[in-house]
Amino acid sequence: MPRPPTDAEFTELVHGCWSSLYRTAYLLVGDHGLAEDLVQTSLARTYASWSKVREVGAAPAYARTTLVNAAASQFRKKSWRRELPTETLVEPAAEAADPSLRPTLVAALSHLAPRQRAVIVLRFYEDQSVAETARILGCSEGTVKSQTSDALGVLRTHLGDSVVPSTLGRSS
Amino acid sequence: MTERLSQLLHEEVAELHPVPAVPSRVLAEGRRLRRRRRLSTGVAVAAAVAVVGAAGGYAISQSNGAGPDLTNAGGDAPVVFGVGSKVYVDDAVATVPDTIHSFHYTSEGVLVRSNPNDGASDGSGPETLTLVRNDGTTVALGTIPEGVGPATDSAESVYVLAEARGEDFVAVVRDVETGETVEEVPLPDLRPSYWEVPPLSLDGSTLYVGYRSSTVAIDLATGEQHTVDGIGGLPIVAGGRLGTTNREGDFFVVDTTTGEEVLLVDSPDGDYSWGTLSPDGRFLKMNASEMAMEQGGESGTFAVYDVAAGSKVEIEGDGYGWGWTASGELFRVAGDTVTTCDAGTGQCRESPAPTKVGKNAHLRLGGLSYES
Repeated sequence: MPRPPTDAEFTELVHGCWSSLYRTAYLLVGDHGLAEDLVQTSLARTYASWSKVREVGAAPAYARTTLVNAAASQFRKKSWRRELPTETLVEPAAEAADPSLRPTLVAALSHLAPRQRAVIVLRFYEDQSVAETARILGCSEGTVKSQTSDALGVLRTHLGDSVVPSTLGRSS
Repeated sequence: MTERLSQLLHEEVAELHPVPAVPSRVLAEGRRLRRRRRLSTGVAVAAAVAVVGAAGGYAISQSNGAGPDLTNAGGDAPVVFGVGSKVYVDDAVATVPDTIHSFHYTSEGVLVRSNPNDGASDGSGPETLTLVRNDGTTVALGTIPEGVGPATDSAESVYVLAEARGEDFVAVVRDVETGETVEEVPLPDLRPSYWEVPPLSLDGSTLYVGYRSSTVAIDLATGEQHTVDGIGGLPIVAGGRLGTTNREGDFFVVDTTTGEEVLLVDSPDGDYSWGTLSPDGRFLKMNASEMAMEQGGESGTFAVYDVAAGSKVEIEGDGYGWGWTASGELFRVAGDTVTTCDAGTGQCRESPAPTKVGKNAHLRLGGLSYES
């Protein structure tokens, strides 16, 4: 049974990884309050699961995995509720001359399904490999590749070809 | 090709100013989670048999120990639920004192625990025991102290309570139709669990007693005992199988005779799951996980495993809202409808409920534990 961290050790850990986890959480959920809650919960779960974490050095990665999975789970329900029928299909965004007229990145991310969003954040913000992304999300590498492709297709619709070239991903 | 996207992602959060961390809040939440998990946590299992002597046995069937008892698996047991002080056994109805806390199946009907504090577990005060037979007739069995749960088996006509005798504890076996004591069994003096008396579970003729880090199985017919090392707390045993959550948050089921793990249900990192065995031990219903509960418990479906086969079916709804009949069928009550599902196939059928159950009703279902 690994020795649990002392309060001082855990406090140092929290201070050390809070900002990094918060940024990832914000990209995953797009809301500051929710991002804060997610980080706190993932770190608390890390503390409670110390027999699995085993050592302080492994804790940030464990907290990050917990955070990503909690975010994907938390937003599954919301995403279902957001899927309202419309009479017309959304047209792909034309290349706006003024970049400020384009939707923000966070707004574009909100159009992704939770798992797609997690894949994008892990692969292109966290710079994780396909294999590591699959391990974190508990799915196959093939699923990561297909989710990445689908997600890039959706992002291209909202951000344009200059951000997501049409050679990447499937058209949505 | 994705450099621009990557750049935008980094730019999006580069100027963020996160609220400062409050480690004390994280630590408090972490400790709360850890305490909650400890209440039902086991670790890797190795059963060790240690015969410690024989006690005077009484007539009780010996249907457990070698796998699930299928003799009562015909799916013909009644649906048992309660609202407030009303107990419904299929179409029969009975009234018990105060508010229903929980149901405990026996061969003679359902044993009902009720109390004057809204059927609460914590802060229940002394509780009343009543046998409600399948025809709705009742037998008053007196009161028991708070924190003492009766252990029953759906094929046995007794219930067992842990009682203090000086500084020791005994298991008192009582006839469920009269309340008369038929046997008293001294309980081992081991490091106690988190309750005031050792929590008990009855499976056929075997009584399981939960301690801090082990569970002792006592054969009431022969007096033989063996210890299931490494699994403590409230024993959840049915059909010769014991289910619990390990320290990693995964739920697993072991054969209580051999100690072998027969089923493991993984949880994602950081999550924590609870399961409920059917009264015959054939099936495992996984309830909403800790993460799902904190998000409202609306996970869409829940999984039901065939323990021996390891296969599973998915049933719509939240697992906490489904009870078990004594013969291992799942059921729920909503509005004016009872839905009953075959736990092996997931096939469900609906029938009229004997009473209309509102969303905010104080509903209690048979086959579920309501302990805190």
